[in-house]
Amino acid sequence: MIRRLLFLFITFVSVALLLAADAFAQPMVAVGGGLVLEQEGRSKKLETRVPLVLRGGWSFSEFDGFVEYQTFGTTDGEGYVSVHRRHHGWLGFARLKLPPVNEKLIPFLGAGAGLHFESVRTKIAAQSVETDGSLRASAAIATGVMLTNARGFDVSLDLRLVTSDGFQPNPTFGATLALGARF
Amino acid sequence: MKHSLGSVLKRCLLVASLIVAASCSPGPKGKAGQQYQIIWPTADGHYEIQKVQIDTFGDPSRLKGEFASLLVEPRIGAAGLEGERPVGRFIRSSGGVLVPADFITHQGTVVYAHMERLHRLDREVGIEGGSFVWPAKIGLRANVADAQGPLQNNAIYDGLLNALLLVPYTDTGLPITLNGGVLAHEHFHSIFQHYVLSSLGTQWHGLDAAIHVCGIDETPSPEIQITRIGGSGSRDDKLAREVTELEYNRFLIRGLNEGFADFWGWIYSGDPKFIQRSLMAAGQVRDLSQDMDALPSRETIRSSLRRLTQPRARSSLSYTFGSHYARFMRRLVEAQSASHSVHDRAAQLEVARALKDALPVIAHSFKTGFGSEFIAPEVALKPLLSALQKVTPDSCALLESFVSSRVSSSIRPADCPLPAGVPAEASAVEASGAEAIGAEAAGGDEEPSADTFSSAPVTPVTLTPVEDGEL
Repeated sequence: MIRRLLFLFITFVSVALLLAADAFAQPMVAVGGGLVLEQEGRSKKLETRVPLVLRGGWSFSEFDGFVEYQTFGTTDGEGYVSVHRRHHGWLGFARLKLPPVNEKLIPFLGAGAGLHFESVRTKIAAQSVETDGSLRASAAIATGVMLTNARGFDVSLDLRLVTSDGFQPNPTFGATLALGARF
Repeated sequence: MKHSLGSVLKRCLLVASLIVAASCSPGPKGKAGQQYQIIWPTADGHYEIQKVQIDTFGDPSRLKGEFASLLVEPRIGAAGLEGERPVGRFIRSSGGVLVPADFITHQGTVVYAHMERLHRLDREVGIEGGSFVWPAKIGLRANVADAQGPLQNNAIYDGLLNALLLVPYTDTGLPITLNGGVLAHEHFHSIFQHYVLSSLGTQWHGLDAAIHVCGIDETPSPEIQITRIGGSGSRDDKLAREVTELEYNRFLIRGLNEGFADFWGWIYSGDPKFIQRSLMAAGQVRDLSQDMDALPSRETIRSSLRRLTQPRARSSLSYTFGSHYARFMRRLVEAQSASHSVHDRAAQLEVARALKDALPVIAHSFKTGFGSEFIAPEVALKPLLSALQKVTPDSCALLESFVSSRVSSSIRPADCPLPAGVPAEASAVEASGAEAIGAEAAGGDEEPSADTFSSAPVTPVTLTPVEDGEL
């Protein structure tokens, strides 16, 4: 619970900073979905997770800097037993804009670092126990393209590798598709 | 702000270095004394989420340790059982407890923890070494099929592979993979395989191979249940055929294997209803807390087998036969206990040790007569009771009840005197299987109805197939 409050606090601070951004940067927010390919149970088969993605940060002329929150859950079980896992990840991301292909399509390279933790809820009949795992560091690299328009909206698609000692496989491959707005 | 290509590359290199450093961090290590939060039985046999210590789970990220090697969705390959190496996914709580984060990991951890304790039980009853089973080969989500399709809700010990296969569970109770009693039951099959079946060679292997192909343990079809035991002169009698010594003895040895395994499951779990927690219908039939029935006679078994021609039905019936032995042995614990309690751990271990010591003797009896005589259902009793340190008067009385009127010196251990009024000579004659079978083969088939075997003083003897999934 304490960690969740911490994440909420960081979100709150990020939004506050967005509103206080100066003239050199445009506040930006984005919401989207993603794809994470994880191993589960068998080492050679990958399972697809679909995380929710939330971003908030600043857009400069040459690069974007933002904080990204991702979360997804999985549930599995047999009989009256189930195991539910929820992943919470927080990455500080820098996205370097490369020379645009045209005035709307901008490729970029990105890198980030952050923290994540997972909570597990185990249920057997009426008994349920939820446990939060410890915080772990993670890092990511990404590449992708961003489609912008003059009204300040953009759609970005990136492919990424994220690494942490808790991930399987490590690094984990993922992708995100997000709809953003700059103010 | 402009960025040169060199500047971009330097930044990428820096990030790549960070990533490599993070990747080198170790996964969870299974050090001795490590606690895991898993579903585990309580002292009264219920299951709940508990913190359980596992000392030998050396590589939890691969669900591997000293006493078990787990595979997911295994298949049969050139090297025996093959399959994907599983991925163990855990989170570490603030207190340092490892919590399985998905169901495969949870199953694997629970199975491993039980295997570690079953190894401890083996040592307590004197099964030293045990290289024939440890590390146990275990397949999770095993895809085992018979003619009717993939098996579900079952656990299978495959003697040829020397592996325990746990097939998917689709019922609404406790998953079989988490049921410690069922795991102990299956583990006993590997002990029985080592001490008994292996010594029988091809006589048993023929059946074993069939089990291997068919996937063992099927549920009888409805028509089999209807025709299981008919009265004398019924339509079923016309369909019945004679039972060979080999068929009969295979049934008997399988029944003993299942009954002893149920007893082992109870000794380990302390729960006489351990099967019922996962399989309601079969569990009721094999509930060890129910009253002990008298042991069916050789004739009753043959009569039942004559009417059950399909292997599946006979397989089901063997569990029922085994339950007679399992309940007798549970009562034997009570009879041997100084406190007259089935919960007396010392008495439980004494009977378990006696069973272990009796297995080679039982194997010898089958080896000498497997294809040539109808071995008596009481074949295990004397070796079992003779292996006890001291047979109490209560145990002798229990034996009297269990074998009904078939009292004989071949059954009776030295510590149990013959009851008053039973001449030793008559007992010896009755014990001769060849004579009894010979008379029957000559047309003296005057067996009582299988439904009500009237000579039993405890409970009328019937042999009814188990009506649901078996283990």
